[in-house]
Amino acid sequence: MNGLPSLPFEIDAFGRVALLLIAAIAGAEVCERWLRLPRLVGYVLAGLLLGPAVLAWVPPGITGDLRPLVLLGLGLLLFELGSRVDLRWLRHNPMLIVSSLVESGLSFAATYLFLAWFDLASASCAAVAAIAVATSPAVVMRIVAENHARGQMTERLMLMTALNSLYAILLLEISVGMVHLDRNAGLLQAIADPAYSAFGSFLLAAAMAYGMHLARFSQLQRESERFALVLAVVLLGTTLADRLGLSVPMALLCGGMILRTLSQRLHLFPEHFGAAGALLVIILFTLTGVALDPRQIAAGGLMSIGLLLIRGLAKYFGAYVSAGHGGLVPDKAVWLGVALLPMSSLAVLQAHEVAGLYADFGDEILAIVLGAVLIMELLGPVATQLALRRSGEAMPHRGEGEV
Amino acid sequence: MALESFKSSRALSLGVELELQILDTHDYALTPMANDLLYWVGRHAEHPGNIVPEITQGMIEISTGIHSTHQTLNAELGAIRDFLCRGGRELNLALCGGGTHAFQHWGDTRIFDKERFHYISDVYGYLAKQFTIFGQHIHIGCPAPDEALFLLHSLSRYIPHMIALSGASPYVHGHDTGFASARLNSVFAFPLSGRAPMVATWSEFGDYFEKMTRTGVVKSMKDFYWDIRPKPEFGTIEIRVCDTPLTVGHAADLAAYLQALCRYLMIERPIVPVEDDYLVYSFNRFQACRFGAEGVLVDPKTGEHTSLRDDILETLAKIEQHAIELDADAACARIKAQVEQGESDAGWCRARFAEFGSAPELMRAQARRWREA
Repeated sequence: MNGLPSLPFEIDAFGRVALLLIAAIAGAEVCERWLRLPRLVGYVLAGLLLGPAVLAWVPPGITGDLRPLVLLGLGLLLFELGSRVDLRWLRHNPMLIVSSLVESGLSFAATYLFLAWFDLASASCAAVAAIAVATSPAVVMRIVAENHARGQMTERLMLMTALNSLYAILLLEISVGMVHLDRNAGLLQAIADPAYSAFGSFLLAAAMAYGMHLARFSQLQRESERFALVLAVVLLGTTLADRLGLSVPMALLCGGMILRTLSQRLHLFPEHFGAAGALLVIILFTLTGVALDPRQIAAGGLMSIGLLLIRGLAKYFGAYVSAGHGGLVPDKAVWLGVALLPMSSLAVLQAHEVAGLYADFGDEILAIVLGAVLIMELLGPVATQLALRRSGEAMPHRGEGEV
Repeated sequence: MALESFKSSRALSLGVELELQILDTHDYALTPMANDLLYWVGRHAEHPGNIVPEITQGMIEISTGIHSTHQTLNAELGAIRDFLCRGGRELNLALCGGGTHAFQHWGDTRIFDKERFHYISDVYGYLAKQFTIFGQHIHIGCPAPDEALFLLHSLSRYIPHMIALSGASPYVHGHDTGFASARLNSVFAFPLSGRAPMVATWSEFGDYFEKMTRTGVVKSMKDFYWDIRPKPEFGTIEIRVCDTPLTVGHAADLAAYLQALCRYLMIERPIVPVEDDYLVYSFNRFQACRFGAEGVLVDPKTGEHTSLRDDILETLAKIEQHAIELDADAACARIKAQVEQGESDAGWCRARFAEFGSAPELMRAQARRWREA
């Protein structure tokens, strides 16, 4: 009888991850077929349900154990978004820069003033406002892919997401510098740290892009090898940025942008990174769900909702700036601001990091951010999908969802 | 509905329509941005030419005014191209010529939201989406309807010339079809494609049109997808077999060649059109689509087989004086040089595909050629 396992046997980590993946796929099907919601909302909900906050069926260490896969999935989406941004477009249509600056500036100013009104420390307000500027690159890329969206609004959505993510990273670095200043750390350190991070990330990005260019990425015929090369570059960029204390998302976003600008040849990634890429995306969003805690909504409460409303209005008006003279049909411009709503899940990491650095950042403000992120993890994808469909740029029924 | 009367227009006046591809600058697939581009166009009141939607969102049609020579036609086409390319830069899209998109799948196209296009889509099903092909239509002015019908039937012998000279659609769905103009295969699928009936006078043509409308099969002249059809409201005949060339210059040269040919036919009257001219029409047309200028041309009267290339060169010699009269001799000389050297737009596409190794790169090269040539 020794050879037979004793029943009931313990479900190990592998089994639990498998369970999580199956739940994610089931959640996606339920969302798409019955609720007409984006598939990735299903991934997030499955994670939330199985996560420690509700059923606690996943091993407690899972977010830590699978962190490399999460970072890789996020890295791929950031790099792909960067490669979709053509900086020459900004030169030919300056209204895009105006619109992007207005949208981001308004988001920052409005959320900052909202929080400052409640007498929160100015450095903390700045940090949260910076986080609020960014639209989630992962959600945008995924929803665009799921809906096979193409068109002028989709182009602008990707451009403005890439730009506001970059602004957010810079603003966050600067607000961290402000915290230093508040604590009399000296002006030099307050300036040197953000500057090091920004320039360092940019140089690393340039090195990644140039490396891919030298490797003649665009001329590799085999799709599988192109994918492997992108994977290698993203892994290298992530680990180097991490080791050097640089900004990983900034390095990857800029890397993609520089690659696009460096060479006129097409740098076509395998469509949404094929099946392996899809798996990473499922893991990314499911684990985002696992990390969410519904109690955060209660803690953040009305402040989170207020923050989201203010931020939403700012994005909406900012995005409308490029209507008309900037070449965007007004019917589509009214949806661009809605499409820009998803909040970056990077924000969770960033908020924890900032909170970890400075004890006086405060639980209260952390709760506001996390509450807002939780709401947006679920509403953001819905908003973007609605905007793409209403503006007529989605082709939701084209073949299978994935490829 | 009765056939409208044929409006008289100046003999041998020229007008051109070109259907263009709208491309995504990221992957050079067709992108449904016709609406966006037309909105941009609408915001520039003073713009050259006429710019209108076509059946799917990934295409747009430009047309010129009426010209007496191809030089002014070329200038107008160039101005429209430059204007639209500026719009393209502001909207991050690219435009290009060529008869087909090299790798677009018909299932990925979207019908432009306009009543007539939805009607066509309902009637023809997937054929309408497959109709995301890009042609050049050349209008030749005719003073009277009977002249127009004479010219229409006399030109039928030369249709293979126009196909061979313009062929620019070797790739479909990412594969080399082996055709110089694969685009025309999509046109053949329409039940009312092909040739006009052999009638010599406008009143006979009116009888035919009335019989056809009585069957309920057609409602207007627009429902005929003939290779050459009369356009009574313009007072022209419209030659519809050409692929959109890769450059506006070649589009103007093709118009010049056709104009000189029509002058030769109208003045020298070397042909008396008869039904038997059409015996080998489809065969000759196929040869031109498949092999371009390398194809075979069969004379319906003598049964003689010649190469299309030789026939074009022979025709160029015959119409030389007429080309000079129309100030079209330089254009004809360019066409002659091309035919002699065996160059063609289809050949150019194949060379770029071989050079870059992929269909998206070919489309990128086509966009650059359109913009810069």
